[in-house]
Amino acid sequence: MTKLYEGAKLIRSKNAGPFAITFDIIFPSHEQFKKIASCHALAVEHVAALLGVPLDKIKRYDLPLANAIKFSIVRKYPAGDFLDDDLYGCQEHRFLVNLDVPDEVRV
Amino acid sequence: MKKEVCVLAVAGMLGSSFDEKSYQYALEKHPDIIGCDSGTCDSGPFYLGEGKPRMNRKAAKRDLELMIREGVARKIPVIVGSAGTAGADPNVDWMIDIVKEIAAEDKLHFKLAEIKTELTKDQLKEYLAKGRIKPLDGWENLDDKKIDEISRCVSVIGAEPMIEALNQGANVIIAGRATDTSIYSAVPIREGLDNAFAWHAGKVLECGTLASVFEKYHGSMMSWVREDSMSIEPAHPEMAVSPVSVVSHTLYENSDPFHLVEPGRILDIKDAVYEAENDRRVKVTGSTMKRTPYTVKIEGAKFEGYRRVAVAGVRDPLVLKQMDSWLKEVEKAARTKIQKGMQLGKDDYRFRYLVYGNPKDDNTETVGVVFDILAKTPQDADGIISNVWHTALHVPIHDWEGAQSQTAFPFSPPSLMTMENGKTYSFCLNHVIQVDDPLETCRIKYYDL
Repeated sequence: MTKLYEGAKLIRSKNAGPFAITFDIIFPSHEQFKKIASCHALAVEHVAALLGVPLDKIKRYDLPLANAIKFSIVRKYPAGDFLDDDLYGCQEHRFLVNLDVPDEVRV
Repeated sequence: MKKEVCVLAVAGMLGSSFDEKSYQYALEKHPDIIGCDSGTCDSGPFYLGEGKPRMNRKAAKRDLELMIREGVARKIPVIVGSAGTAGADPNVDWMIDIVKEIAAEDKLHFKLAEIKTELTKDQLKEYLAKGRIKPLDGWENLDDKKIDEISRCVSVIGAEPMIEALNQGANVIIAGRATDTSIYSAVPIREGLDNAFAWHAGKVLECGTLASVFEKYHGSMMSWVREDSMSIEPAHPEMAVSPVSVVSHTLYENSDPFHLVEPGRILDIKDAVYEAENDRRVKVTGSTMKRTPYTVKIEGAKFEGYRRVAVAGVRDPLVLKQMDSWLKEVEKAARTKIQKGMQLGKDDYRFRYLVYGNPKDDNTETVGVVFDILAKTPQDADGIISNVWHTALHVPIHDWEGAQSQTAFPFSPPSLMTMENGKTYSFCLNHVIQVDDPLETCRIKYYDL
């Protein structure tokens, strides 16, 4: 198996307002994007389980023009809440970096 | 109607010390507006709650001076939105003071518009009573009690108040909380281009040069808005945007990359077409916009208490082996002491700890622990954190016999407070107000400088 980061140009997470976090997985080519878009590891059910969010609090968007897949989730705690530990939501993509994906997606 | 309006964003954030050369290149293209965003809620609820800016005054003044000096000399309107990070009244006052200082020092004369967007509790209660406040994303309805708990609330205005100020002859506009895009769409709209391209351009411009292929210089981004398209180009000739870099930017900090909700409008960019016009400029067509009932988003911060933290390094391999149970023991012992000595129980303060590093990794030399507490008074907060770190210091493990000290503190005293005596806030609103008039949540004042 290959790790998702080996097939991606950029994997990142960031607040989208204080109540949501958005994850971007950007691929180096359209071919690469097409290969991975249908892969099971990135199915919304799988990513929801990985991030620990219920299915009604996650959405997936495919942007072929940007060779990108995006997930947006509702935050467990609002940004800066006493129990929040990532103000910018910018280190939550860690769950995706080492995700196992089929070998064909390696660059 | 103007056929084409040239919009300049000097940077993604005012006070970020934008590249002056890029700015000079931009001015040579004769922009119709010089704009910059000055706010965000990304840095958390503190800035709104406290009415304090995140940026440094000197850095904000440097950027503002460059904008105003050129804007006044060339008769180009200057628009700054979300003044002083949170865009609340004290944040706007802070920036107006800087602008007045610049005018006096540089002997500049212009009409300054101040747009304040803070809302009082009475205003909120009135809107609530009229059934005008609606929750977003499954949030609960507001009630008077919840409104009373809000420390500060701002309305996030659209382009209309800025257009009003321009109509009144303002040369420089300092606006309270506003959508980032409205800063850049105000002038195109006033010129008759209230279309998807004005707003789509605003969306790309709002982060300055971040939409570039490579951000060699941090600074000016330009757009040309037309009836049927818009073009986008970094001001510096050594920089470029590409179709991919522009599309990719619509992903950034945006939960839905296809729909942008703005006051009174919804933008659909799903079918937008991005074409390279040359090796550094992109043309966008195909975006569409629909008018919607006019709603204004509100942001609120609620005071939560006074925060203190202590930072400790744990290094004894035997303690690291039982880190979880040891920390639970620390919490239990500290809470008992706080109850006995200070008569404060579980509901009187909040307590958590964060562990940095992996105590189970044999190669780890130090694991960091941040003890974090929130209390109702600064005195309680000081007492609680002292109890916590001093308890942590001496909670023994059974592997050793005799008195033990477990935590390496990097400074004295081992506790810290966040800014302004540790005052801590939370975001408490995710609602919109349905308004009759886009100007009704704001107050505009003019100064002839």
